[in-house]
Amino acid sequence: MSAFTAQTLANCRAIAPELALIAALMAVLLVDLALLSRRSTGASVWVAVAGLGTAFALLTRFQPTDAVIFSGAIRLDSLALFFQKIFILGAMAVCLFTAANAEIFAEYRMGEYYALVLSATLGAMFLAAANDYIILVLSLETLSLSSYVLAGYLRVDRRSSEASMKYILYGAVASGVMLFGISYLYGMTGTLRIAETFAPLRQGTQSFTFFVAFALLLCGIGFKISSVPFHNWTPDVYEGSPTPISAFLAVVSKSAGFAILLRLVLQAGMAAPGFDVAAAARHLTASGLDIVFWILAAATMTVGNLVAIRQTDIKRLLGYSSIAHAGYLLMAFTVMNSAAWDAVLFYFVVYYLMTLGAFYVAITLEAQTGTTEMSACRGMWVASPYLVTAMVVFLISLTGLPPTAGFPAKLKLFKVLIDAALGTGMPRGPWFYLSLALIGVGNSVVSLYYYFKIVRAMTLERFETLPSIRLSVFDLAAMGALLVAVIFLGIYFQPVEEFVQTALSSLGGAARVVGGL
Amino acid sequence: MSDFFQHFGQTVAFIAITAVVIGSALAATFAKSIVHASFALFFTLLGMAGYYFLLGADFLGITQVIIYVGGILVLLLFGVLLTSRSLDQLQIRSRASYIAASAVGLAVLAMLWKAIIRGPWQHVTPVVPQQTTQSLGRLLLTDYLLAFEFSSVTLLAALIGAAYIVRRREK
Repeated sequence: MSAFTAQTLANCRAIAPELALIAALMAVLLVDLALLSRRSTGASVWVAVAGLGTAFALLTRFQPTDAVIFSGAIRLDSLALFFQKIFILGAMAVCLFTAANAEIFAEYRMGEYYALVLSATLGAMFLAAANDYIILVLSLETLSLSSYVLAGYLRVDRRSSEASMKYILYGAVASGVMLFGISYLYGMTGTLRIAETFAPLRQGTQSFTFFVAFALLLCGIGFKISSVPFHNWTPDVYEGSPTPISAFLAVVSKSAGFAILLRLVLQAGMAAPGFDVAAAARHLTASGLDIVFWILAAATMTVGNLVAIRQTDIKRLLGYSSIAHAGYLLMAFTVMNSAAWDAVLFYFVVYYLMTLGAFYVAITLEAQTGTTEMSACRGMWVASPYLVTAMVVFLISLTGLPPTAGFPAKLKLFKVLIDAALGTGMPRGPWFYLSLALIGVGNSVVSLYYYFKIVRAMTLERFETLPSIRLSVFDLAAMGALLVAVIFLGIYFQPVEEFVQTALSSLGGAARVVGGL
Repeated sequence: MSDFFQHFGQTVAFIAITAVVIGSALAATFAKSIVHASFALFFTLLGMAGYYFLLGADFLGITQVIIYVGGILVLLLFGVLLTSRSLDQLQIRSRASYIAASAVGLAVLAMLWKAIIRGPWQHVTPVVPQQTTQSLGRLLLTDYLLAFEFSSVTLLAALIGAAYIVRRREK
């Protein structure tokens, strides 16, 4: 056995979770083929969930390293492992939500569905670990291509096909623009390693061309995280897609975009193995990138929240709300210190729980009433108090109020900005950070209004007919689990803090960030 | 002297290809009929293959011809053929959107122009053109092994998706 073969086999062991997902993908297809009858629907979801579970179990056994494997293609550091873990849990939740609400997909075969959810998750996993642009583009395309089809999975439904078409058109343009930017970076540095293409930034020799290239790269990522001005697709696609897929896009796909954005930002300061958070912040701030993030954050949350006010469809509203949340997360990118990254990762853990919860309520509504219009929710309080209670808690959490997990998550983000404003030695004056924090607070107040429009429709508005809602045991359990998690982590969030701290261990000094608020 | 002729030939070829690429791209953009636009695109894509050949990337050039000219363009024409006739005429909705699109396009062009002219590009010394296929194959199975294998998953996902979309309704 040659040295190269031995090396490759060793590398394959390092990507065992991804290989498990590929195996599960094949197994789903084979099971679907073997059981051509309609029974395969039940089997394929279990194969998919088993594959995701195996991948998760393998992931938890890994110790993160700063080493790059496969000739520098990927880097399985603690940041990658963190995101991969939450992707898998998110995908698993989406699979189970789908299986429990099969009414939405009554007319469709489900083998391909779970295969595509697995391939999308696989794309997200490699994206979080990408160390060069080839893997970055390939994994982003795997995630996107699978998502395009999933968005249009309800083929007979016009809105679903429209969602798919819009998503493809926007996505193809965003990928093209991003590739063009990457070609500039390659032309200037002659390398496809992400860290090495940022050498001009570290050496202070960045040119106009470099900024153009970086801006084009940001366009592609801005599309994935649905930041303004690349957000137009979000509400339409969320509204038209089958609701479990809207949830997938809101949690897994969005956090995958943030994972690669975070990596790009951190790579800017990296010369040797291991990230240098302070150096990255210094170089990027010197180029004025924090101002770019300031504008993106302010515009994204303001547009997301203001347009959300007028929405009458719950899925569409959650789409705008997910734009707004991208804006809140982008606030931390103006500060770029360890505490900021700590707040971002913490926010993601909580964001997953509360967003999945809110979408699960929407999934139940779609499966049982056939619509997610707010007007169809009238009288829900009488039909299912449990569902309404769950929705209220998830919405309070999305607003960021105590006693839910959304409160510490949002407080952490604001604290980063306020500390930056009060702290000494920051590159910008205090008002730079403080003004963004104030915009964020103002936006949270606005979001309270439209989130409670849903609650008002469910509880206070007059109704003629009682909506028929019958929650299954799984519905009760899934909502209950998310509900308990959101409230419990709002009071006692130490476990999330610890999880995030281990995720930041690759960031050098980050492990020393003092936890707590 | 032969060096001069070689460079002269390359420059002439470059100018000729560029004229074809830009001319046909403009024609594709402004064509009234989608069939005309597709045929104009044919020359743009062929011209891109010409660039690759000029740069000594023979394998890439051939791939460009096979995939874009032979595959994607034919697919595009079939798409036009099989969909309804109403798509035949490309219409720009209003003068305002036309002007807005042109303004954005020109602004992007100006930005990219400046970026290209000012760019600190890495200049590589031209090497004698030789077969690239062997070294490409070697790279794909060594340095880019993961990307090579992973792209099969990407293609598999695309295949599953395409097969799902075109399948007839079961019920």
